Amino acid sequence: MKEQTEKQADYDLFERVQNGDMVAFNDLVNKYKKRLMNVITRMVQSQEEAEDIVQETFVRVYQHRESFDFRHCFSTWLYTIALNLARNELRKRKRFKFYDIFDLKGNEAEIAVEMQVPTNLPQVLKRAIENLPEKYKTAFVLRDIEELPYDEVAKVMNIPLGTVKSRVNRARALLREKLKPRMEEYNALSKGTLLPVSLL
Amino acid sequence: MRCRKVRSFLSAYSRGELSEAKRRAISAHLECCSDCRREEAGFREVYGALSKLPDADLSADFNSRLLNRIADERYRETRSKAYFPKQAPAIGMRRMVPVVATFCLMLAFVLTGGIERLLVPDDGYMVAQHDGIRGELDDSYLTVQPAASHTFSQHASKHWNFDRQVARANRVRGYMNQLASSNTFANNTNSWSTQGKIVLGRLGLGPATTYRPRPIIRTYIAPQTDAVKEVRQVY
Repeated sequence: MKEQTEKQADYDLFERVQNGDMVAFNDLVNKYKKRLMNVITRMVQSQEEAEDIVQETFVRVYQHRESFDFRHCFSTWLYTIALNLARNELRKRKRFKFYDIFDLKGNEAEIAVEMQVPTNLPQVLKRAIENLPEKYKTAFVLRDIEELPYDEVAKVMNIPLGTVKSRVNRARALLREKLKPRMEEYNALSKGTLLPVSLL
Repeated sequence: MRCRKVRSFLSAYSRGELSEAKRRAISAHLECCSDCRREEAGFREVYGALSKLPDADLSADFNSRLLNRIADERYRETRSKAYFPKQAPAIGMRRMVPVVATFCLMLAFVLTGGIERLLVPDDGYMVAQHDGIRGELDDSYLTVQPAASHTFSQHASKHWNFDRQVARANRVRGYMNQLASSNTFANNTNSWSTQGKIVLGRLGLGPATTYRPRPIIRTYIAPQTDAVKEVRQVY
């Protein structure tokens, strides 16, 4: 019921956008920009690039506003555009790999420290999500972080529902495996166990 | 249920995504299996940590930068093309084909004489010209020619055989005689504008066309030779 209302609200706003109402467009941007940013940041792992992609997504939405099919969900359309742009960006990166020597210097040590300190769990989890294979990561982020229903994830990714479920399950299992040792340390710490001497 | 199967459902179980029957079966298993219980707790912890993940930040001027780009986009739209929202055409190209074809046929019909041509008797050449447009009337329609001859007029009758040409000349002569003796001609003899002419009304389609009755010249040509044997006779 809540979903239906939200869907209808999106349609109403988008109809106003189609009629040239920029206030409605601004409302849509405010409603979706954070959600998109959450997904895209986890895909491309760069704040600036993610912001550029989100901006480009809204520009595309505006450019193609007349071709939107009202039989589909607006959010599905939006996520599909954003993910396609993110995928293009990742493909480009694969073709041209750029390394910053200063980044490389600091990064290794930084990651090592993050993984060593059990209290920094959200940071560790973030790293673990970033390191998931792309197909699992997309399904996981859409389902478990954005909390989209499975069928909508299937539409956004253009794959069967069963495949989505198995990819999400696989991503969760991988995360669980990666975080297992850190979680145990974290739990021990939170229960008052002393830190290992090496970390002090 | 065995542990291996239960573990494949644990992540979905901890998220409450399973059906009631499966959920009960797994709960029952977890009560008696400490390893699986530990696994399930691990999943719960991961979800707990997920909720603590910070939201990605957007720069403060995101909206203004985006709206500037949209404004550019709108400006480009209005500059590059007439600003009409894209709409599906009311009539597709396929449907337009018969319409265009019909229009072309009608245009061709009108340009080649139209209804006027239909109202005129079979022999088009009898119609001659509107009065006053050309002073000299073309009487080549009365000329009978051998099939391959170009010495006479260039009208279509050069491809007709001899009998057909003679028949046509006779037919034309008949029409003209009929017109000459009709009441229309007799009634209009006193008017200066219609004197010596015949006015034909044409079902209300445009102004009436005036025809001038003329003397008929019969010309016969022997079918086998090009030698012209003329018999001119004035009616």
